[in-house]
Amino acid sequence: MDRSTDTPAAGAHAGAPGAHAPPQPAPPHAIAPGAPAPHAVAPGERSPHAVAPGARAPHTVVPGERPPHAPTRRGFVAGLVACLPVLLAVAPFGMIFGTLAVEAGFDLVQTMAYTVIVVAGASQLAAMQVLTDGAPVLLAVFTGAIVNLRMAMYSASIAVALPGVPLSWRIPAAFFLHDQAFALSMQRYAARPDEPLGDKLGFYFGVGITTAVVWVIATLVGALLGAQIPESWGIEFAVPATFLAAAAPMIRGTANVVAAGVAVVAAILFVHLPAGFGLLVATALGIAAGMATRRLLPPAAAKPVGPSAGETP
Amino acid sequence: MSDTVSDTGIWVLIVGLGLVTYAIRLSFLGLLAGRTLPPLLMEALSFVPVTVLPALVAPMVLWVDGSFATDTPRMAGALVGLVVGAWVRHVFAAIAGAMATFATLSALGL
Repeated sequence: MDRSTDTPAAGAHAGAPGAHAPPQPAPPHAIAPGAPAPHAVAPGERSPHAVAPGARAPHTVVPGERPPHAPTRRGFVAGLVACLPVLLAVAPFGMIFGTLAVEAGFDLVQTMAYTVIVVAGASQLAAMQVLTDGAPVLLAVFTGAIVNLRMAMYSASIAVALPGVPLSWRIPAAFFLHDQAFALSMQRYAARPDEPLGDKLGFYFGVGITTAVVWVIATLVGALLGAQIPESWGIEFAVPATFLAAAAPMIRGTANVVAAGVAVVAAILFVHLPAGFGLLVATALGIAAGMATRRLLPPAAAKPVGPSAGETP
Repeated sequence: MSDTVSDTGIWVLIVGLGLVTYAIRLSFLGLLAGRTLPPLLMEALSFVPVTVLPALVAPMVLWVDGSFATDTPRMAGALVGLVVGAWVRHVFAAIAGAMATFATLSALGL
């Protein structure tokens, strides 16, 4: 049982690089090894999850009847329960973020708006750091976006895993696509591929909304109490500690170790670049090094990594 | 350090990062539903977390007051965070361990 838990900020072992080894024909994005392939549904084809008795098309909604994709309470509760262990990591991280935001000069309204609108702790911290280092605000936004790029990967995986969900549900679903919602949902779908679509979507929202609500409340508590946290607790080290804690579980396998190592060395070498730019260069070099390493290594060295349970919203 | 950051800058950051992040989340769920990313791009994206986060941390640990330095409390704290995070795989334990190490060694004047 993988009990790695991440903060709503940073890490995403769910998207652990190991899962995308090129030699594998179908990249099992975050699908556990051995799990059934996600059901891709071609246009016009009926989703296996949306099949209702009778000959109706999957999206036809008879008035008064629940459409098959409508999130169920049963699924929501299952998601809520599933994310409880993860909240043990989300809550302290939210408090740390709230504390640091206030220390960085954000007032309470700004801190809460930031955390409610973005709901991605690592990027919130990273962008805040770049901004308070004196970089232009657009570079800070760009840095936060880089940290969140992994979510494009999540978006593609969830879209494939939930075929037949109409856009009216995918638009709100996207808002809650943080690390925990992605990782726990993909685990659930791999373990129970035949669950009805409504339960699957309910589970997703159960994890997504619960985690986001706890994240926001924890931020508020941190922002309110932060000023009272004694200096001797080492709060100034909270930011690097958080990023390390989020990244460490993902740095597995030679390619990831090389990627991380190159990124660290480059970040030091390019530290004199204007604030924020060194980070971008270091990230790009690290990614290139990781991809090159994977190609130079014998395929057996690349072991797929299944999704794990905790990340950051 | 907050003296240089204007209110306007903070609000632009909040709204800007919020919009960009939502756009990334919606990307394939919304606009490109049913399509998948090219495998090469998926692979590159999969390396983002293990590169961007360590690259963020490195200067915070090894860059003290404008120059490269080996600061014992920072290095030890980072090492503890990395080791606990990698082996125990519990984020909060790793954060707490790193901060406690840093705080203890700082207090001892190392």
